[in-house]
Amino acid sequence: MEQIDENVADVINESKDDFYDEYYYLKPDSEKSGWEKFCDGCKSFANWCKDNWEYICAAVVAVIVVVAIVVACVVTFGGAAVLLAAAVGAIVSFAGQLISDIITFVRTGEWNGSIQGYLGAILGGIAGGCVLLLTGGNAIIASSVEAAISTLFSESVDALRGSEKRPIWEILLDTTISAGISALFCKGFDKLSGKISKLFSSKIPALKRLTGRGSYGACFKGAITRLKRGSYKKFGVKSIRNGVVDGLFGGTVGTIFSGSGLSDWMSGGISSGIQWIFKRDTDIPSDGFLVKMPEIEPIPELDLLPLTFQLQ
Amino acid sequence: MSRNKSFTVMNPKCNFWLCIVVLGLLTIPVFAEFIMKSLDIVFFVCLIIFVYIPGLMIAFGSRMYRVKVNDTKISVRKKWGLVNFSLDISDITAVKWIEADTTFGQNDNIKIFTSQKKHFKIETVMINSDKFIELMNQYVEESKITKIHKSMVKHNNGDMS
Repeated sequence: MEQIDENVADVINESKDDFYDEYYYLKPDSEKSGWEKFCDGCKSFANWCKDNWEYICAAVVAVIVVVAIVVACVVTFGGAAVLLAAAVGAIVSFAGQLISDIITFVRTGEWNGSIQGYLGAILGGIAGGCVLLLTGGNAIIASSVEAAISTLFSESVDALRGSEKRPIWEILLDTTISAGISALFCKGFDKLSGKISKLFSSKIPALKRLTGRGSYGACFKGAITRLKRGSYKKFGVKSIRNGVVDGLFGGTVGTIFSGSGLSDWMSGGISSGIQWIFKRDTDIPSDGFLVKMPEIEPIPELDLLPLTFQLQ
Repeated sequence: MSRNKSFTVMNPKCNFWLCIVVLGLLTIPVFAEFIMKSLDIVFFVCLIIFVYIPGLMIAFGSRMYRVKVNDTKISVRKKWGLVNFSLDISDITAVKWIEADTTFGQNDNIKIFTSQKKHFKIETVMINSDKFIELMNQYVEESKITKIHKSMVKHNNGDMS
């Protein structure tokens, strides 16, 4: 009797294996071995990578650019100076992002801040601080790089985390716009930035060092003057701190203004313009193609023809 | 020749604290998402691996880097205290000295190679770096020093050398 049961069990198992070999996707998780589960996990990860390769590339490019800038900077200046500039840049950029999020919250009533936003700001700040050292204090380039890396990284990771799936060209457009706004605030709106910072510093005592005689910018300019005269030579901690805060301040004001909707307005306008240019000739609804068939006279015997077809 | 010179060259303390502040600031949104239960475990693990661990390693690496000088004896502690070695100033075989003129001031980035095939670095922003540079100028032969000068300050004619 037992022999018969074993034989039957073998036959059932064999036929089950044959079935699962042919229809693997019907195999329940409880029937899978550890190796099969691992292979499934790898497959789903590969599929996820395949679906999101553009965003992965964008985020990786942002990180590679930052690493390249930091390495180039360390070779010339050494780790300690670079660490200082990067950390100060990161804090300045983080503060700008936080203020921007607070303004957005006040404006819309929705909190848009996310880890990737702040992580992007820190990454951008690190790059901006190092670029300031490399370019000899060129605030326009530093702020543009800071804003570009911050936007590229945060929006790519946003898309990867599934919170906001946008086409890659829109992310690149946003990156360009935010870099442009930062450069604009550094160069063209220097006085406006000063006035805005004055407004903030009068209300928040902690920001008093942003404008006026004792500001970071004034101290840094004083150090440069002493440097030119030859009465001051040393590359010091304070001069780096003052220089980085002063250099990235214009870009930070640009980030804050982005929170007020300026950036959204610009990128929204440009992207809808692009969409209009490419889609004006085709009347494509977002839920697929709805093709209207020409009206035909119904055949009395076979009155079954539908008038519309939904094509996927 | 002055004897009984004793000092320690180390990274500025603010470097360590600034790194901790940056990581601490990042912890705020992480904590907020954790409370709101919108933080997925994969992203959290990625943050730990790629942000927090390297960040803490850099912060503590910077804090623990130390070059102690006692007369002509130098003891170096680097790589989180995992690499410790001592040498006499006469054991220095080569020095690569990068001088950079920037708008922030003059920066010296000095890489010192020893006869034990080890090396360590001294930079201008380090505490007591000026004393070490003075010591080097006093005891290390000029033939061992390779100086590279970089200028990042725009001169009046617009040149950048």
